[in-house]
Formats: sequence, structure tokens, C-alpha cells
Amino acid sequence: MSETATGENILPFYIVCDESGSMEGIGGIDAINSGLPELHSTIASDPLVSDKCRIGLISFSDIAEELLPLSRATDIPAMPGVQAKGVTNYGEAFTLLRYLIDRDIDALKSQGYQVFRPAVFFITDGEPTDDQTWEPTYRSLIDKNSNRRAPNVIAFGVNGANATTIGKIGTVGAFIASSGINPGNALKEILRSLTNSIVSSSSSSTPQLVVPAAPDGCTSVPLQTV
Amino acid sequence: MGEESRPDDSARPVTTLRIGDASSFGDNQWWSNRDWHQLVADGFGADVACDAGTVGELAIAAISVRGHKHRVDGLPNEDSFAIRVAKSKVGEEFVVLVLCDGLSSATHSAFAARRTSSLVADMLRRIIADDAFTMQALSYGLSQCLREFVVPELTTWSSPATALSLPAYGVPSVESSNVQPSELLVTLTIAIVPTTNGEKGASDVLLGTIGDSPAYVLLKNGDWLKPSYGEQDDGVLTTATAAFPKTTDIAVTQIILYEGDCLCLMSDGVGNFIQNKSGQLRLGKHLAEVWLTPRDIPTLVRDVSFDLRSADDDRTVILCWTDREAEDTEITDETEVS
Repeated sequence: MSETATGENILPFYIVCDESGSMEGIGGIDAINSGLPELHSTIASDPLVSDKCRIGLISFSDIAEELLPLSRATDIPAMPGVQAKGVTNYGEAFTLLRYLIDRDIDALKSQGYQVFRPAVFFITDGEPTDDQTWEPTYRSLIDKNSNRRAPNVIAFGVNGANATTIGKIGTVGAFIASSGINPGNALKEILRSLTNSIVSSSSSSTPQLVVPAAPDGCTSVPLQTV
Repeated sequence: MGEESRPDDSARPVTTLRIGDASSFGDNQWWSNRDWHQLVADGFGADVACDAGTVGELAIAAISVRGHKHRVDGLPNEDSFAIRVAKSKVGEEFVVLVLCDGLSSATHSAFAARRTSSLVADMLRRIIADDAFTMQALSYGLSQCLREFVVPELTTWSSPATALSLPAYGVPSVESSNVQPSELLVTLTIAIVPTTNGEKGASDVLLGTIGDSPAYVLLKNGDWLKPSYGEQDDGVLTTATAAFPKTTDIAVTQIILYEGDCLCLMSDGVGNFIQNKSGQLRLGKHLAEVWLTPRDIPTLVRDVSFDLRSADDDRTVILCWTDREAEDTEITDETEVS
């Protein structure tokens, strides 16, 4: 006989990181790998946040990989790192996201949790190499009419990322690093901003996604439809 | 000379009522150096507030516990309750129950919850004592009474005349003219209950609500019945997303409370974990079993202090048992009605 549900609230956050070769040259890989443990430590040490949120890490280049399944911060011994790999296929990331969100929400609900709409933080340093094909995959992920689990997406772009493209990917927020700003430093600020968003969103007694202000060195980009 | 007898302190400390997996706060001692349970610098923390007693055939207990969110941040409990006993001109006696939950987004919501609950309870007591009182007249005129009598008192206070003058009981330190209604937002739930059960053990009860603090009737069979308010043929009137005093239109309904029922007003810190669209949740199932009959006050405080991950809001309940002499009964579908 299954146990009665507790109704415990869960906010899922997915961090989607560009692992393309260009990320190494700009200091992006180092910035991400030093920022993720800090994010983990901040969330794990806050009882209000760690009890309520789950974080997952996805990387993408030629293909997308789940580096960290959706987990409670205090259950994560150490955050995995990212490595520079191939090109920048956005579509792979969105396809994997769609699959993982469905899988994770099904699992959480079967355990009796109340799951809030997932939030996705999408971080990239360049234009998509699958520029002809990523948009339909993206649309099927974020279209609330066809996907009732469509996530809220906050997009961040540095270095070679295009503001218009970043504005298309964000559904509730989009930010681009200002020209002249060191991309590695911008990425560090982005991770801090991301951490603040997770903490603020999870700390409220009535959970709701708090879109961060523009990270230092970044400006807000108008959102655009795809 | 004989040895002095010592009080028996051998009983174990109160254990936590745990629902599901332990939260991060579950085993934390409030005095620990993690500082997860901070004092409120300006006072009025209200970590645990309780009123309990009998009146007529009723047993009433109100419990409010400051939530983990406010304990970690060193902020006061933003829930409040008020209970009054009122007598009509024709000698009918009622108990007035009021529960308020301050909105986190409102700067002075803790003060507003305390003040609103007290003002509304006093207003209702005066109305009941008035010549013109009937439940029906009150249900029609309640919104207007809130506008005319409560809003002005809530939104106006005297500021200290000098730097050394003492502020009135917990009022904000700013001038009331500088405070917007949006800084005083609260939910409001009221119940007016006759203190003696009517014919055939049934009583007419008036319920009113602005916002999302639910009222439930716990039935003898263990079901939580959530009364509906103001449903109309052409749609559903809902004030679920509204807050007082921005909204003074209170949704009202009259229900019948039967002997053996327990009327429960709750803030959403408890109400969110009673049941959802899929049915009873684990806390709701447990409380349905243990709240059918009155319990001792420390146990009720323990009940409301349940440990459940993500349940970090303030928790407040007002319980009104209509048959305080009922024995503990096991819930069955064939529970005999006396």
C-alpha cells in the first residue's frame, strides 16, 4: 500500500552549461568550476533553501549530458565539474531538458511531493551551431499549451553569445555580458546571481521564481518570441 | 532531618511530531549556535501563543507557532488570532473567532495581523450585542462594517510626540500617514458560533473570509470538509488572492455545525498540508484522527509544531469542539451518532 503524500514543496532548478571548446579559451570552464562549489555550499548551508530546492546540472556541446541528477544540496558530496569539448548544439540541451524534467517530476510526484514549475538557468558563450534546427526543439520545451511542465528559463550569454538569441531563449529573464567585460569574471558574477535567485526563490514561504537583477558586468536583454 | 523531595523531572523531553523525512530544523535545538532561531529585536515574536477554554458546550483552543522562516530571519510571527464571547440582546451567547495571516510582502503585516484580529473580534462582539443583530443582517453588512469601523482604526495611530515617548502596543515607528494599505495586508477569516448546540445538536455558524486562510469542518468520520463561499450560478466568487484592507469585500457563508464536529480555522502554514486535489495529505490524516476530541494544551502545541520539510511558514489554528465531553472514538465509516 502506498504511503499518503506529505505535500512537501519542491522547487527544481536546472543549470544548463555550455561546454563548447570556446569556453576554455575565455576562462569560462575555470569560472564555472570554481563557481559551482560555491553555489553548492551556499545552498546546502541554508536550511530553508536546502529543504525546498533541488538542483541538477546539464552540460552541452556536441551532445548534452546530465552531469548531476536533480538532487537535494545536502545529498551532493561534491559538485561535478565541466570540461571543454566540441561545438554548441542548443537543440541537444533542450531535448535532454524536456526528457529530464518529465522524468524528475514524475518521480517526485510519485513520492508524494508538490512540485513547482521548474526553473532553468541557461549559460552560453556563443551562437548555436545547430542554428537551423534548435528552435523547434526549444519551442516544444517552453510551450505551456503543449507542455504543461514547461520551465521558466533565465538565459545568460557571454563572449560570442548574441543578445537577440539570448533574448529568444529566456522566457522570464535574459542577460548578456557587456562588451569589454572579461568573460570569465562575467561568468563568476552570473553564478553568484544564479545562487541568489535560487536562495530568494526558495526562502519565501510561498515559493516563486525570483528573477535576479542583471549580474555585475551584464545588461538585461529584451525577451523575444521564437 | 528528612531529605527534601525534588520535583520529578524524569520525563523525557517532548518529542517532535514528524511528518515524512526530518527537515533540517528537525533536530536543531533553538539555542544552538547555528542561529536558526533568532530573537525578535523589536519584540512581539510570538513563538508560541495560545488561548484555550470552555464556553457553553464548546471547547476552544487557539494555537499559533512562529515559523522557521521568521525564526531564521529574527522576524515576528505574522499570524494572529482573537477570541471573544458575545451576548445578543435576547440572551443568545456566541463565540467570535478571528484569524489573520500577514502577507510577507507587506512591511508591517505582523502588526496588522495583531491589530486586525483584535479590532474585528471587538467589532463583531459589539454588533452581536446590538438590537438589530441577526446572522443574516450581519452577513449582508459585514463588508461595510469592515470598511467603516476597522479600516480607519487599523490605518491610523498616534506617533510618539517626542523621541522619548513610548509607542503604543507594537505600532510601527513611522507615522501612519506615511504607511500605505499595501504595507498592512493580511488574510482574514472569521467564525461566529453559538455556544450551545441547537435543536437536534445542530447550530448555524457564520463564516467569512478574505484571502487564503482556510476554514475546515472536521467531521466525525475523519473527513475534512471545506465550506464554499458565495458561489453563484454565473461563476464563482473568490477572494482567495485578495487581502484586507486592500479588499474589504468579505465572502460569507452559513454552515450547520453538528454536535461532534470540530470547526477548524487555519492559516495556510497548516492548511496547505491538510489536503490537496488528490486527497488528504499525511498531516491532514493524522490530525483528523487526533483532533476529533479536545487534547491537552502542550500536546496541541506539539501538533501545530509538526516537523515537515518545506513547511517553514507561521502556523495557526483555532479549534472549536462542539461536544467537549465526547470520548475518544476510532474513525470508522459507521461511527454511531448519538
